[in-house]
Amino acid sequence: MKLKFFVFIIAICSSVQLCCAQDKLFSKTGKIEFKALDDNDVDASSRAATILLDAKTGGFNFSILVKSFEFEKALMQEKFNNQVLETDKFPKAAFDGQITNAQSVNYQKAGTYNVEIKGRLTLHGITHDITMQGTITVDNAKVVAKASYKVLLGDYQVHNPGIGDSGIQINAEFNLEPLKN
Amino acid sequence: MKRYVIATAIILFFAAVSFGLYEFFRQNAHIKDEKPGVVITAVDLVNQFEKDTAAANKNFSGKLVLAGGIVSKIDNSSTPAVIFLQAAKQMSSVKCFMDSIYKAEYKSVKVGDSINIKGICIGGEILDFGLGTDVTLKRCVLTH
Repeated sequence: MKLKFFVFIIAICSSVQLCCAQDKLFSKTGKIEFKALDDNDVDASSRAATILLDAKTGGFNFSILVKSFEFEKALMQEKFNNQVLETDKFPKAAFDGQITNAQSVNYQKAGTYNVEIKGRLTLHGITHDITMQGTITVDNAKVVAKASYKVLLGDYQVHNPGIGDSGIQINAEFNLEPLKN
Repeated sequence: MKRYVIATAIILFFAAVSFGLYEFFRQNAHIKDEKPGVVITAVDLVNQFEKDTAAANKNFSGKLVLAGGIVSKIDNSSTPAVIFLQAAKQMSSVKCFMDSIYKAEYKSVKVGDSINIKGICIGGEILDFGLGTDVTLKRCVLTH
């Protein structure tokens, strides 16, 4: 019985190491949600983000087709695409950054690690340096990265009174898997 | 005469209010019964975006596309479920975000199945770092 338990523990540890021995982790179904801080109707989500995390260097990149965001109300969705973020003109939002404390994440040890991610967010064709706070959770064969950030639409030359004047809270969650070369 | 003017104004007022309420509460349409504007294989669809992304975005974005192909991956860990249709290159695919209302129709789909999916194309992108090219369809339904 003890031997079986020992073998089980070794197998679990091996699966964690196997998963996380990969330098690069990715997801093509990353979830991004946003909510206007001053309007409950401006609330949408998408699972269409593609992310790449380089466990070795801390490189953290993601992109998303802005039209993939789904609102509950069609009118809000049409306004968001046509007037607010002009998605025909600027179809993609992207982030290109780096985890500044990448060395504090042990991908071979289960746990939740707080991270700071600095980089450049491009939205509506405008790019700004931003800093996001997030976590990386390592649990058995899974690695989950989460990050959140408050965007002021005015910074990205989005001028549409009534939508997100006080800012938009963005929450992202990515269930990562190893990138096989 | 005055009575007719008042009656017309009342009718117009209620029509405007009804229209406003309808528009405010209108939900995104389901596309199950709509006819596709484009019928194409998943391999060809991705190839078009790889060849000329700008032209393909112009040709396909916003259109109702029926794509046929082999299921390479299914992610139903959250809503909506995502079915990936295989493209010519390993990391490339057509990402189909399924309409949850029709879950019963796609829940038995397995990796390796040959299926047809209809959805609204929202564009495609050639991804960096060797992640291939993805074309995204949303509000998808299975078709036969």
